[in-house]
Amino acid sequence: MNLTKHVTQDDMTLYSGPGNIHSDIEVAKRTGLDATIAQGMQTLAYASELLTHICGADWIERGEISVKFIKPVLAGDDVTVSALESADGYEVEATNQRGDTLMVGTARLR
Amino acid sequence: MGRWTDATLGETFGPLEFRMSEKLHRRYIDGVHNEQAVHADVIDPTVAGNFAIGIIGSKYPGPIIHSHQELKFFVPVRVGDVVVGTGTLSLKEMRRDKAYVAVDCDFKRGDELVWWARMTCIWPEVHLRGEV
Repeated sequence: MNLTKHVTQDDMTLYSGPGNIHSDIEVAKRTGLDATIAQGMQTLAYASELLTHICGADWIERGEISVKFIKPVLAGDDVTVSALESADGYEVEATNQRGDTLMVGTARLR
Repeated sequence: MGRWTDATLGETFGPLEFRMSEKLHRRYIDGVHNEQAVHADVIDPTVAGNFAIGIIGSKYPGPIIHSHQELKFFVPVRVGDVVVGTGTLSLKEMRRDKAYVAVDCDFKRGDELVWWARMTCIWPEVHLRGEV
């Protein structure tokens, strides 16, 4: 099962607040970035929404997730998160419209 | 983010109080267009990862490079609740010329553990020059 989200700068600013590398290009440039990047937790929140859809309220009470952030998400990206059933729960992945892997990990219910 | 050399394995952070206001709730639900009905008043539990960043940032402020995130959820937290977070620096090591730290965080509502988070990040190189 998967879920796709179109990420806008407005979303990034709302989620992360003003005056940081996620919302302010000048702050991003001072940190050595060419553009603002979405907070990793924003991508993880997409995965959590998908897992809530799959597992229901159990996800809120018994959910566990472990992820590695691989590539940044930029404004304008389409991020697709997927959760494939595995022996111990779910293999979680996020990719963008270019096929880049953004985040990988595992999730399960205790 | 502060000085890498100042960070000590086992050092503690907090307690920090996080008030689950409607404004905070909407920020983390509307910012990702979360459409799950359960989140009408239940906080997205992944905010524990955001709060973990705030916990390490309480001593070492500034941008981080978020590397890994682990989360465990135990109890639904609702708008109006107050959650208190504490953290412990559980990892500090160099890997392939990158400086990694992790902070393990407990989040409690009263005496009840509601969320657990381990946030691993890379100390930004700009702050490492001349230190390691």
